[in-house]
Amino acid sequence: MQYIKMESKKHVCPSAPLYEGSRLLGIVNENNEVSILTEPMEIDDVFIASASKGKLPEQKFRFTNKCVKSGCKQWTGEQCGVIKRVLENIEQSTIKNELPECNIRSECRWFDQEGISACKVCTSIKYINYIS
Amino acid sequence: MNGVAENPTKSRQLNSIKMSSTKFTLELKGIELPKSTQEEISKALNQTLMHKIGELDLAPESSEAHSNSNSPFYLNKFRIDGGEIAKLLNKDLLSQIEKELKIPKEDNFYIAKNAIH
Repeated sequence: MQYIKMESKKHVCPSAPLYEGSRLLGIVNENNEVSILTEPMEIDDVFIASASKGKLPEQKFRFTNKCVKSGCKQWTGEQCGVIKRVLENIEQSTIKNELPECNIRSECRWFDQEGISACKVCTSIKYINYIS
Repeated sequence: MNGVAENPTKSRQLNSIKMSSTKFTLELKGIELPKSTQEEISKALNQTLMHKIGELDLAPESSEAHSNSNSPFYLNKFRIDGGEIAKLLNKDLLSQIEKELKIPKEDNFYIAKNAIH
């Protein structure tokens, strides 16, 4: 008999693309880092319309949505490959000592996986899936 | 490049939280409006706030790809999932790699990372 490991806890992705159910988690600031909102903001069509002008919304903002695990190409099979890769490669100088005040930690995929190490680099991470 | 080697099981204590905020308050002193009008105005203000937040684009221009030049090279400084990369990319080379590896255009930032980095 085979047992399938069930994960009961629901996680959220702290760097999701903008799609149905996404909430605003952060705004890319003048230093090209992300200012994290303490409480993710519900967004509406008005926001989506204005955010979609010019650059891609994901270049200007960070969004959170449910972690879709194997439905995401960043999923390695067991965990999120993004935060692991970032922690392995990020410049030491980019790592923050101060952590953003953030209310999604209890359900954050990255925090669950890497602890506060994830929070220390979180503001440096931007979702970009396209360059031209 | 240096990795962060903190043990996640031992590093969950959040002892240095950064707090910052932006506050908007609006108070009309001296007048009392009907509740329905207050709600209407409140809704309109929220809509304006959402619109203006959506319009924000604070990211520096240097983070964008400069691809309008006639030169086959362009400097593209951006962060790929947190790893900052500033490379002089050759557009022709990049498209050749795309073609060879048959990787869709939308995945080309991975090519940049894996093949050129």
